[in-house]
Amino acid sequence: MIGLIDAGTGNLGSFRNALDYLDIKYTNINKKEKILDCDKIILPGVGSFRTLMNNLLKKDLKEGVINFIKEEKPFLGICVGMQILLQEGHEEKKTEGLKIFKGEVKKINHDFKTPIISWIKPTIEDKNLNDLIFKNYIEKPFYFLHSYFCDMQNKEDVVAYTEFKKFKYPSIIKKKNVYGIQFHPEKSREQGLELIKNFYRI
Amino acid sequence: MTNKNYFKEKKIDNNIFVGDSNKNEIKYGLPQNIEYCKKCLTSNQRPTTRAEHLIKEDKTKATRFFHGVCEACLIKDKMKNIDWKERESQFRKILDKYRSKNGSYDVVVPGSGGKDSFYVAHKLKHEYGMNPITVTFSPFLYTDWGWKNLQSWTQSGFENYLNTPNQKIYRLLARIALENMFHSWHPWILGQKCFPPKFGKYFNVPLVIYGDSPSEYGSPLEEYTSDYVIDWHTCKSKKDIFISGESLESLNSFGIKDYELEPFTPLTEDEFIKSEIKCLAYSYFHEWHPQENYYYTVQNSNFKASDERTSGTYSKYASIDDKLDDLYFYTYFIKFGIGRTTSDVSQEIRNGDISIDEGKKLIGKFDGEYPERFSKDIFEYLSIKEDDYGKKIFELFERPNLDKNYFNQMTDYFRSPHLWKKTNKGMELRYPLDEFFKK
Amino acid sequence: MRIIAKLEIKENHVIKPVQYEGLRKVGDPETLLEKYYKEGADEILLINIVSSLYNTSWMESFLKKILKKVFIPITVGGGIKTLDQAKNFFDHGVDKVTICTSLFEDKNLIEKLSKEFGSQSVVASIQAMIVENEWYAFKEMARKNTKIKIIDWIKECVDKGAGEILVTSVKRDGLMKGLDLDLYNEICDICNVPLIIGGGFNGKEKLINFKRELDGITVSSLLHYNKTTIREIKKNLTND
Repeated sequence: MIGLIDAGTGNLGSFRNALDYLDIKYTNINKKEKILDCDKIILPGVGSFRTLMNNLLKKDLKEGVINFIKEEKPFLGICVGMQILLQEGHEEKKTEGLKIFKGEVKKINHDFKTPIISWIKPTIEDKNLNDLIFKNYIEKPFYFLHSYFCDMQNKEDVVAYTEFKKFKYPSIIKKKNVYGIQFHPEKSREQGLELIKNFYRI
Repeated sequence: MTNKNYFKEKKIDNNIFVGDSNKNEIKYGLPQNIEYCKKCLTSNQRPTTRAEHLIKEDKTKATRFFHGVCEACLIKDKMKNIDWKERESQFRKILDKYRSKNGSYDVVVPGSGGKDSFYVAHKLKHEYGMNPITVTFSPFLYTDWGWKNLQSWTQSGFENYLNTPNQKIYRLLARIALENMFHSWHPWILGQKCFPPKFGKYFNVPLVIYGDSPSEYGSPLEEYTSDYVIDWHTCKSKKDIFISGESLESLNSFGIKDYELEPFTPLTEDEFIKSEIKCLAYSYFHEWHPQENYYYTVQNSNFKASDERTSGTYSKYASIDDKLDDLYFYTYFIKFGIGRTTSDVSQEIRNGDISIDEGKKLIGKFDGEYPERFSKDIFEYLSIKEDDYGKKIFELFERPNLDKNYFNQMTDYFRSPHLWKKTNKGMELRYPLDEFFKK
Repeated sequence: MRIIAKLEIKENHVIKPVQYEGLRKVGDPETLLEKYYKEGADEILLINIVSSLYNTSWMESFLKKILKKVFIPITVGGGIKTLDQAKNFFDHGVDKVTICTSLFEDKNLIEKLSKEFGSQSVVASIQAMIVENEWYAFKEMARKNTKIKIIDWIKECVDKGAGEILVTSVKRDGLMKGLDLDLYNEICDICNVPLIIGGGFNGKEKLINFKRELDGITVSSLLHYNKTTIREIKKNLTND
């Protein structure tokens, strides 16, 4: 059973629509007990790092999520859901993340306007294409919408990069069973839905 | 005979509207029971077309209703069975008779350069190969966009004759019409109806084609004909004519000469028949959808809708060239209990542009809106100053200056008690639309 | 640059006003939306264009249906005044809400929405008209001049937390005679968030004339009247 974390932020509605379309059964995780029912978890997120972390704490989900990850069960964090997997975020104040990946979430500061709102093709090194998440990978653009990016400490954690107006940053990260995707697969047409389907099949 | 204070101050104790004691008192010959059309939301108080130059006092012929449905909707239903190809072929036959063989003018198109007249002129020229001359009877007070749209008409390739009456007389007549009938528009309606056939006669272009016919809006079925009803723009004799509710003799006695009243005076029936003038409605021969005329016009010219919402309604593209329109529709609302929004809504519902629900919401929101936006200009326009008019005309009016206060006072004078009541909220309709549909 | 298909909705029809006037029906929302999705639209913009003018609110059944089969970002607008209304849309899978008239009635609305749902979910929409050589923000289906200069209004909306600004040229809209270059060039430098421009797009614009690279454009008439496809539009814009 796939669990969809309902931390009060995030476009759960979109994700539910995508999973329904793919005929994938899921359960809404709004209490820690529900985590135990799941063998895979997706954490969607929009908005802010801080709000998402606070909500996980308020709903008493943080510990359950960390344990789930420690048990090496498949976990997918999307957009802000990916960003909180890092050590800390730098919005108005520093906020602690789940510390699964080494690195920090920083504001994009380049010579273009933020947020980045664009359809971009990620670059995946050949060696990474074998990953199960890239089965039947459709090399088309995906939908990105974000003002912050993951500044990763370990290059090995990065499975795909994205370049936007000469600014290169990680768009897919992975460590053992944990995936983080910066873009929105649930809003990225067939190519996005394919990724979700692949995660489900892991 | 002195004409001093010929136009008495219009004053009434508006407590007569309190309660039900006077609710059976009816003005203007309107029906006692108020009814709203279940299809298009207009009411049975709506006046139909009449020969405006015969009006001495404001008695109207109200729109007929049949089992809850108004005559305009019934006519619209009947139109579903019309063979439009056949009608268009009739139209072509008529045009063939009048089409010039030597490149001269062959049709007069009256209008303002708004969506309907532009559409008709453009179609006649480009689709039917006619040589149109357009004629406009000037509004009282041009709006910026109205003037620009008239220019745009000529820029699109049409000659135009603009008849601007002597503005002093025009204003005076508008004020007199307001005093007599609470209908400041009256002189314009006269001019608009009289000018095109007269122009046709003088220019020797007997074919006159208007956009729509009053039948689109609720005139009796018997008047739904291809030719305009002759009574609307001719008189049997000039002696019969009333302008702004005053006879020619009366107006002469104020010091106004006949030639100054010429723009508002129709041809006699004899003159009309002798000149063989033919006044047609384009809408009789083609499916008529005013909103589509807008789309056509805006694609084929620089016509622009107004920069703001038209007062009293929700649109900004229909009849937008005269500032005095705002006042007219407001006085119409006072007299008949329905305003400009109702008028627009009922037409747009019939044409499938909006739904009944939307119509109800719009009427609730905008109908009867006070004409605030141009009120300063309008009140100034309709005020009679001694410096402008001299003592004789100035003294005709007990209240020559028209300001907001006097206007509001006049408003109560002209309300019909069967339509209005006074409550602690102010003046309210006795039987508004939403109440009618609750039952 | 994102190509955003704009559908103006009124009571279960797609309509296409010209200069924000007229209610001509041009198609079925579900059919057109799916069509533009399949043709490669980057985003969809659904606006109930008469909401504020008529005082009607909406969440049509077709929207719920379409969200289950169209997987690109969808923005909705039209008479949105409260957080609850926005939440209702988001719960169904809508990504962003766009607001015009209500922003003038409740000056704190953007702030409230962006605090609750994030700036990325709030698009401030502006109906722009030039009056005596100055660009002003209009409201209520371009029927009322708020008398606020568009430059000031853009700054205020961005300050309050709007994630994007959508500016439509009222006089160009629906005519397919080209985007308003003057309007764009006047405002592009002062807008610090992505700026979407619309009104009159006809695919023949020369991108080089635009002072800055465009973030996004809305297209409606060109698509509804089948003058071209999204594929063609994208092809022509990249060739420029």
